[in-house]
Amino acid sequence: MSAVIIIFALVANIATIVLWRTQRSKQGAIRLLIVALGVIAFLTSCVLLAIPYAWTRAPFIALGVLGLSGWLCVFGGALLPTPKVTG
Amino acid sequence: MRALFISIWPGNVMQRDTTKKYYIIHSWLGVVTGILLFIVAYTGAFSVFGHNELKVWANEGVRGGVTHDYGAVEDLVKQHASDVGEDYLDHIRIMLPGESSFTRLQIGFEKEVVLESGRHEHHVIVFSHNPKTLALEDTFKGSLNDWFLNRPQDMADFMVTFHADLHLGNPWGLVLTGLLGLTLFASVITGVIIHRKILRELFSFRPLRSLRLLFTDTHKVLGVWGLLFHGTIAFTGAFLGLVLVLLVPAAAFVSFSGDQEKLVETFLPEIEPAITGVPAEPRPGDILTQFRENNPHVMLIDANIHGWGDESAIMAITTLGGDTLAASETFELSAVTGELQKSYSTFGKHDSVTGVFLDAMYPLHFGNFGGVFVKVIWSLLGVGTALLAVTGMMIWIERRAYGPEGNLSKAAYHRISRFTVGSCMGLVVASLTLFYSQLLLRVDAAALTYWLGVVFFSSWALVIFYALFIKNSYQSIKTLFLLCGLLAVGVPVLNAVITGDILSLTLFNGKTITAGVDATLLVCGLFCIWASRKLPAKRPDNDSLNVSNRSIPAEDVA
Repeated sequence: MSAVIIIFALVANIATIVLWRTQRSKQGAIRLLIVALGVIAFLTSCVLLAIPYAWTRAPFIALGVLGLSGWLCVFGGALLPTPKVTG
Repeated sequence: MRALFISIWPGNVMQRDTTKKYYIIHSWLGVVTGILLFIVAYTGAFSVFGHNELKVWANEGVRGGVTHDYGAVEDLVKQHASDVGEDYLDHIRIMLPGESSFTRLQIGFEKEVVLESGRHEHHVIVFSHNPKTLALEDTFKGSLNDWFLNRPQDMADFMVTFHADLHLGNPWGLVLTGLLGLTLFASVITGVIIHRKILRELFSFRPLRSLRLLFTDTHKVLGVWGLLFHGTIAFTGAFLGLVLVLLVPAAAFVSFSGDQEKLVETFLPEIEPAITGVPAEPRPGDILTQFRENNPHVMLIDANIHGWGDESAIMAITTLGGDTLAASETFELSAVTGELQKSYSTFGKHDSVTGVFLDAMYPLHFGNFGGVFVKVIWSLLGVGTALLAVTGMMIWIERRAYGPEGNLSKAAYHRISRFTVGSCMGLVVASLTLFYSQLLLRVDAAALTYWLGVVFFSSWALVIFYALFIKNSYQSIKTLFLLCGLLAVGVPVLNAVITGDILSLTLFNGKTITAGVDATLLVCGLFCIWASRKLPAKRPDNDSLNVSNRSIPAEDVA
């Protein structure tokens, strides 16, 4: 179960970071929504991780997952093919 | 005009000067300690799996897990207890194999003797049994220190010790790694201060623009996203390195008139049964069986029996992996009835915030508080810390070899660059040779550490010489990546040949740890081979720094 939750936390964090990355030029409500989503994703990770790992350990694991998610998004994103600009 | 006015405004000028000072501190801290930081961080990422994944892989006897027959263990304890004599029954320690650092069932009997000098010394008799057949393999009799120093070690111990003190021992090795933790912590803080656009550049990664931007962006992304991890590792590392050498003596000096033993007694739990003189039969086998049934998910490390033969005898079971963040938790039970009396963590004696804080240091550093998946996260983040150090070094060199900074010749910076490449890639090669040494060396267990050291440091030195000798660093990096890849891929193959544990079989016959280590090496090896094919063999002609060192906006590299 712990593996499933860690993978879920990783995916949730990555999704939030990708959303942030793609929408970061936005202002106002959307920006606020993204920030709220980021916080919710992190807290959800903590709550879920607290099930197998207890509250004393969950926040540290969630922070580790967050760092790893950031690296995966940035370095992984660079490996994705980008559309060529023509004309 | 307004921009000029803002830029020369005294407050802004002062801020720029302060940032520049922090930048100088950051870069010089990094360059002076960069290679050592890489060594400590890389070996740290490795050491996360030291106990017990690599330990199990390195010892065929405990591969596939060990099923404990606690009844048989009790019989052995009672048999040895009757052989060793009354004076060795003060403290009996049962060290269980397969779960942490023990590879054999060891039963130790300890007595305290007073030397002519008035000092106290602990003498032990330790019986070592085969972990599966329980046949007696050897017996040690001597001082506790000698037993500890002469215990058989393997590649896992070698790597963990190298991470802890660089094999320089106590105090110099510990002081050095502790200071490296402090310098990393200082680098993290100064890095945040000088990084003014921290949020804007969270996603900046431009690997194809130029080599310098590749290093700069990688350094920033690794640093910012892993900021809390790097800070935690640095702080806990500094604490663990300096605690024995500086902090304990300093605290004892301030609060206990220099009496370190008193300080340790005050903070660490001491098991003292209230001996009544009423004889009673201890039942360690039944108690361990019951405890295992009640706590199926924790690792049982050892069991210590104090007051053997008395009705008040206590059995303290040390566990890992409970619900606390602490590195270990001890359960004190009656050695006769099995009734739980109390449980506590290492520093939990006073039930204070300080205790919680001290207990968290070790697990937060090694990531061993949440099973193998947390270890994987910690190890990957640890590799990030190592890359942070090496990219920082490369930025420093690039700026001086191809940019306006630096007072040395370009050739001198190239030599530093080649040495950095050799030291860092050499460590990776040397760490992989440990797997080969563990499988191939057929030497006495006590001499294994020595020969592991010979192979490890020789291969490392060879790679450094190779990297210094080859003028084209791009070519040497490419070749060394290929070498690392081939070495890593070769380990599962050699393991299959030597021990018969073929990866495809170990995946299904219960040897999951062996399979995990082999599979990880295989994946890492294939990645290195792929990377070797992709890496350029020489500095790209279109690298913007080759054309002009002014082509990159200053803010991109700041």
